[in-house]
Amino acid sequence: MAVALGVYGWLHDPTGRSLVTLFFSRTLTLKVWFATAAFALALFQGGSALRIYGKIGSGRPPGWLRPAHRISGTLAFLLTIIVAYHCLWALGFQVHSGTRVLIHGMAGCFFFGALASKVLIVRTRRLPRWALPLVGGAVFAALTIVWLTSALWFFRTQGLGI
Amino acid sequence: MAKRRAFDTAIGVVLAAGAVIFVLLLAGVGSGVLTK
Repeated sequence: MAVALGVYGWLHDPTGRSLVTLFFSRTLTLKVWFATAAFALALFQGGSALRIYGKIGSGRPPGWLRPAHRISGTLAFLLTIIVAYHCLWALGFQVHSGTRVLIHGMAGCFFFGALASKVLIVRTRRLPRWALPLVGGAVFAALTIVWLTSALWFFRTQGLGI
Repeated sequence: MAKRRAFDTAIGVVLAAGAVIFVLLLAGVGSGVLTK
């Protein structure tokens, strides 16, 4: 999945077109706020997963936590699709636009590969116990790198406007 | 149990639909819906 997206971004001629902006002033601000919302949901994902598997807190986790974990993950996935679509369709995989952009592109492709693996692994019981936290951690790490090299960079250089 | 199974199915359908829409958009199918 990760390699396929990278190859697509590399071979596809970037359209340079903008997304519909909804109530945002431009495509870029829509993307950074959608990515930030996805990152916030990913933070909840990490915390709720640690609680569900008994790594933090005591006693049984509340009944709403498991469905909330799945809904937040699905919502984060839908948000990242819109952002990634514009990245790949309009901008492509750029290797000559600086280190930040290169790392961002690689982490973005890796994120979707790791996410696809995580969705499959979470339903599989034949894998060792460390597989799910390893892949879940990889998904979270990749999204963190994607956010740091895009949204945080944008906020630091251009402010918090929408 | 049936309620939980229905919830799991709904989440699975949304994830699969998202993946299919992502691939279709990248292939150019319906890209005009999201782009200006």
